[in-house]
Amino acid sequence: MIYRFLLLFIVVSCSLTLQANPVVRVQFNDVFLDYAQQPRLSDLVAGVNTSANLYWPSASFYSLSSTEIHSLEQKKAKLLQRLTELHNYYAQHGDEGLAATTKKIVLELTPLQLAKKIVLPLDPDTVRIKTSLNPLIDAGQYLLVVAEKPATVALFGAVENSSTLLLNASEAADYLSDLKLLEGASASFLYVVPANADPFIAKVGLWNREFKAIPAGATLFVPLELRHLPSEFEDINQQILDLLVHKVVAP
Amino acid sequence: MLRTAVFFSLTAMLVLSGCSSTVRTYTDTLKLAFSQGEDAFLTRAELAERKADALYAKVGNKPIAVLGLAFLEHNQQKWISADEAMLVIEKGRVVKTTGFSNNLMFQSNRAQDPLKQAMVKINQGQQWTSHSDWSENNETGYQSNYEIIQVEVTSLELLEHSFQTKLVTEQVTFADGTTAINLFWYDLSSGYLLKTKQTIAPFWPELELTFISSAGRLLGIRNAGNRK
Repeated sequence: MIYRFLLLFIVVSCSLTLQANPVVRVQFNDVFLDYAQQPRLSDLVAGVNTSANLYWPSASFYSLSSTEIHSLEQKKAKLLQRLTELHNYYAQHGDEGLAATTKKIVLELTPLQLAKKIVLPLDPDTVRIKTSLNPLIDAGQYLLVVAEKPATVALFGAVENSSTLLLNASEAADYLSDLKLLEGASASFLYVVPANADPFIAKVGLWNREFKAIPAGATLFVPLELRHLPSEFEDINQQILDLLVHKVVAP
Repeated sequence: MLRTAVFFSLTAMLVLSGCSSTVRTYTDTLKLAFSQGEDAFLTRAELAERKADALYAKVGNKPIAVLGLAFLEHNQQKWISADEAMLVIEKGRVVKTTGFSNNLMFQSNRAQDPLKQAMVKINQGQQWTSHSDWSENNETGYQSNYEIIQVEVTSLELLEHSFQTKLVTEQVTFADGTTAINLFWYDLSSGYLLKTKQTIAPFWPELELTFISSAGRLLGIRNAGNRK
């Protein structure tokens, strides 16, 4: 009997120790997956691969390193400051429409939750059969987001809507008719931020239109038209995009 | 969201130690997986000795490759090739691929597929619609309409044995208007799918898949084990 208690004590003690100091901790929904040693990526995704309906192309993986989050928050604070200056510039020059658009972006950016997104293949069917796609995960805390295929596309920037329906068999320009663009919105291109790939530009103007599909789970960022930007703010769209890449997407 | 979530730990894991433009791109060419070479076949002895079930897979005019059953999960069979391509098959239909240049990432509405039924309930006239997503250009939502246009009894030669089968003929119409004929041979006595020819997209060549381990199991060459 005493051996059973001893064994139970050891197991509980080890569990508590590892819970307190896991080498890798991954949050998935409301669950923590703790690893006592560096796991392979396939171990992480296998731990949450509970259904054939999970849509891995729009899964996202983030580092929850406090250093990186702090750095992103600092960038956000600086960007908000610049956007406020841009808003004030428009207001001082009587461009109320452009001021309102800029204000909208400030309000949209302020609550944005950020974490460093790590772009890499996540589909268990890909990573577990290809060693080269199945790295050891560095020590740290992570967030894994995967759910069923999203039915909507998130919108950001110079657009009134916050989301729009994902369109079947379509391209970026097809989305424009459903968007309520705000004053100063670019009419020639959009930024597309896929859930698990690098962002890209989709040219949607009548003169430069090219085929770019919108992946499920992406965010469409409608930038400010360059000609409306004072020279000292010409990089503002790129700065917004650089932060938007690290937006934590709700499952 | 993060702050308000209620967290708990999975201690079990602690034991782990270790339009025109649209159509144009949709019909891009496809680089195929599966190594070049001669057709691969298994002898009866090899079939009996294999640990994992085997599948003969022929993609277009490429040589026949032998794929191994790597995973059985979520009611799906996941077959991998020597060159690390994967076919995910759900009740006989290829619903996902990896390792090809343009992979089928997702197929919607799969619960409505008539092939999900028991063999005896699969009948002429049954239809369903699905939308598919493809990897190469992030293209999503391409509609395919399926209709079973014929059901007949026919024989199928496998492993020097003639199986009496229910042959289900299905017509699929793709988003670009092209059509293809898919065939499914079910063993009449057991309901096991023994062979299929199917086209999953207009830019994919026909896939010919022979469930050789199922045939071997019916002939007593392989022990009964995981199935379907």
